[in-house]
Amino acid sequence: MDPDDNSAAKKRDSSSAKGHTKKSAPGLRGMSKAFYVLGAVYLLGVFVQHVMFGAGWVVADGLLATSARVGLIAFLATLFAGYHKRWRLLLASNRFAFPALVVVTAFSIAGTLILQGQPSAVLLRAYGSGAVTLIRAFFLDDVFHSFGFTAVMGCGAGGLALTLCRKRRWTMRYAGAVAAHLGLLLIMAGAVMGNVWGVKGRLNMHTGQQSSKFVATNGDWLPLGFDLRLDRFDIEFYEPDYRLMVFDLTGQKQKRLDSIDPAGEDASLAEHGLEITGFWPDYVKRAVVEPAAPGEENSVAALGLKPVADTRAAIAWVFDAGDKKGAGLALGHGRLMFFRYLAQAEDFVQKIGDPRAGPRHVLQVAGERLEIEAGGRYPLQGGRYQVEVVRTFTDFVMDSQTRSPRNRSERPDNPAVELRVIDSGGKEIDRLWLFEKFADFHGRSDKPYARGLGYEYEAGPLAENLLAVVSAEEHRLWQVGGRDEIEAEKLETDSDLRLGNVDYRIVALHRDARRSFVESSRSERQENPAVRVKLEDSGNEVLLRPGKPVRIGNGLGIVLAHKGGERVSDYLSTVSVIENGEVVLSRVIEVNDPLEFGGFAVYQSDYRPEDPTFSGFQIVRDPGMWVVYTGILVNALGVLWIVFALPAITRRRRRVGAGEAA
Amino acid sequence: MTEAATILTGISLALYSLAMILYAAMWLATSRLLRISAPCVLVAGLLVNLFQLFSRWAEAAQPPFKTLYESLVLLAACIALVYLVVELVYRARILGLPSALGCAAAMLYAFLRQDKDVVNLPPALQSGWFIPHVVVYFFGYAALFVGAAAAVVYLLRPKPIRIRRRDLIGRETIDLEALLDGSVRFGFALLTVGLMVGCAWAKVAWGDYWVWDPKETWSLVSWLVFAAYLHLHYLGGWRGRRLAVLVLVGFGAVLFTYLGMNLLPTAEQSVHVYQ
Repeated sequence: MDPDDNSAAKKRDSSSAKGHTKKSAPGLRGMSKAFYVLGAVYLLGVFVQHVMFGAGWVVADGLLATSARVGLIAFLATLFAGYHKRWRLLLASNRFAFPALVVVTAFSIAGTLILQGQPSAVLLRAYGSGAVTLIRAFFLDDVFHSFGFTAVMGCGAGGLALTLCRKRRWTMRYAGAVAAHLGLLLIMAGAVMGNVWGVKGRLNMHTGQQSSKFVATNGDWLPLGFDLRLDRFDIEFYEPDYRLMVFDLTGQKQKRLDSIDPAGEDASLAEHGLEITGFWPDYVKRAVVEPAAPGEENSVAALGLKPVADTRAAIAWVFDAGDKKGAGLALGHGRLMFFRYLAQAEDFVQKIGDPRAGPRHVLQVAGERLEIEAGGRYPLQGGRYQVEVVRTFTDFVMDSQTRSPRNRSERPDNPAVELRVIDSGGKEIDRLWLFEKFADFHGRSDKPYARGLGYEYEAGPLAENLLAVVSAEEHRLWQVGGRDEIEAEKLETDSDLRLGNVDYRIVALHRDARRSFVESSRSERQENPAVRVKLEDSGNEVLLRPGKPVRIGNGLGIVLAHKGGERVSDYLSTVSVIENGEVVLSRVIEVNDPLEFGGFAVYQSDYRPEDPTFSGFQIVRDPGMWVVYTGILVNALGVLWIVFALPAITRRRRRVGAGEAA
Repeated sequence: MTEAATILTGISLALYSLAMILYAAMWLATSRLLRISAPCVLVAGLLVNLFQLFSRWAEAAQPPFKTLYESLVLLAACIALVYLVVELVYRARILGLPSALGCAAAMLYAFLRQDKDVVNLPPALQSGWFIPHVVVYFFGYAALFVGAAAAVVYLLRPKPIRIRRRDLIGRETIDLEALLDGSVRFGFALLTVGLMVGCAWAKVAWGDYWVWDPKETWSLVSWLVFAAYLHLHYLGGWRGRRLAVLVLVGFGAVLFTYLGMNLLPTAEQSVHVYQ
């Protein structure tokens, strides 16, 4: 890519008529040698990768840095080769640049045609064993991190550098080409710096948590140099707006035929043989309960409650739980269970009085499950080690004031256990924190005592703390404040009942009741939409809920889906940077707006829909960032110079030349 | 909004199609009426197209570049704009037919699409980089389309064109190679800026400039092909037919980058694929 070749080309052009193309371009003759060189470099890279992988010198997480080093070595080797004139003439010429472009292009295309970074089973299913052997032999299943590819890139960059170092007259004419190529070199140099000397990792946090370390991609815990605390995490949503979407399912890919506003009238509904018979923006199925005669068929026991503070609220109905797990009514942190028969209710109360039925902390040791409790000691690795349970938590949080762990609540939001590891001589050799939701948090995967070690929290038969059990037979209530605090009392209709810290009024208490349901909408906002659709062919009706498609025959499918596709408009993590115990910076991290502090950039990168307190960050320290940015700018300016300024300069010179000639 | 989108797409499709017919007629007959009416109809189509673009932008309060439908509408406007500039600069209407055809084809595809609803932007796209990245790229695509159109015309008529119909070329001869080269250089510059802006944006959004996403990789492939074009043309002395073929190969790569990602087995690994 030598701008000096331009003059040679011009000379050649002047000897051949414009537009005549039969002669091959002399500047590109002899490219085969360059292809051989690049092929040899690639194969050498493949060989080195096999040797290093075979010897276990490269772990998967260190592949990026190692392949960047290979590229750097290829670059330096090319510069060294260029010291010899014979090689320099090849490497710093278009006869080398063009083949390098072709080879990089070919590998880039291959990287999009062959599945990348997939496990063997997926590749075998896609290509068969013969092809997979070949793909694996040349590392084509991870082309862009393969040593062969980075070696070719490094070699091409070396040729580029040699071209720029060639002696030439420095004129404005070449400024653009030099800048464009220099920019590319800077970009590649910055990328290598970032991969070799930079750090990348993750930090998963819950609100209230504080951390001074993060997990690097190779699994090591690295210090940040400051403490980062997640103060709050918010997810902002777009206004919900659902559509009834009709799909053609006959082809290989589903094709959307229509997007219909369920609240409006649309003629295309009839075309698809559909009729909307009901639409509820915020769907709720309300129970209508009437007293029934004792023993009446299909009758149920029913308890109706209203909060005393809000008499306009709808009646909350609780029906006979029977043996159904998870039945009853959720009330704050507790649950109200309701049974028709006294014996059932007594059985239930007795069951929750049994400690074995309560929550359990379970240690998994090499596939074996041990129920543990604070203070207990348990053997590990056939007795070579022991662990002593120091503390257990149902909802672990790091207290920002005391900077020590504490239990935020009895809800099992973040169960954790602190362990002391003791060797066979009785000496404490380590302390471990195990979190149910972050299996690798302990960061001791390489230690023998941590192998196969896991932790689970079992909530027991009830997901939450039980508040009360009611029997309809004798109108009796058991208030359960803890396993040992069970109080029974008689209930009456229209009497008040305190559950947790809320007062309820019993508006109905039926041992036998008839129950039916009415579909209605709580509000006009599409929080929980539902559409009832009549299929004209069969006359059947289906109730569509968001994200649950229904096949309706004739090769068509319908689904109620969010019109805008994307529901989340923003993720906002409010964080504090703490140094020496003092908050030095508080700000919000969003996508496209990372926090930069102490040489690190903290990016918003993850969230969990089921856990609103969780936020995940990507942590990056990239010493090559400004080199890359400079390269981007220099390259773009160079290209713009070539495209816009150079033709203007050339035209002006021609005009001046023509004027002088005249 | 879907109905309005369908109507406006239909109107600009009709106008672009009419412009295409008028430009085609200029190859067959010389007429002052054609000479005036063809660009006027194209401009009318462009105005409707731009109205559609900006009204959607105003109504949705977000740039309308998210779905394939929206991007096709933008592409048609870019092709029409770039072509009209070419017509003004070179005073030639020889590329009017393929350009109007390109606009009409983009609009027809948009008209047939079912994703006319405005969709919400995910957080990553709510960025100041979004508009320059997309707009620069699409003007680049449009310039390369015009370059590819010139290449097709060149390949069909390999010698410097001497056409009696001055309606088409504006003067005695036209250097199609210069026209092709100008378009490609302009397109390449925009591809470069678009690529670089994309890298910088990815760094700000995700912490990585480049992750070898299939779309990223194919935009690099397109860029490399046109980089090869510049080297082969200016330094390797390539001229004529093979240069025109190279431009078509490059435009094929651009077209594949834009529309072909779903055909790749690695498409599921991309965050750029149109659904």
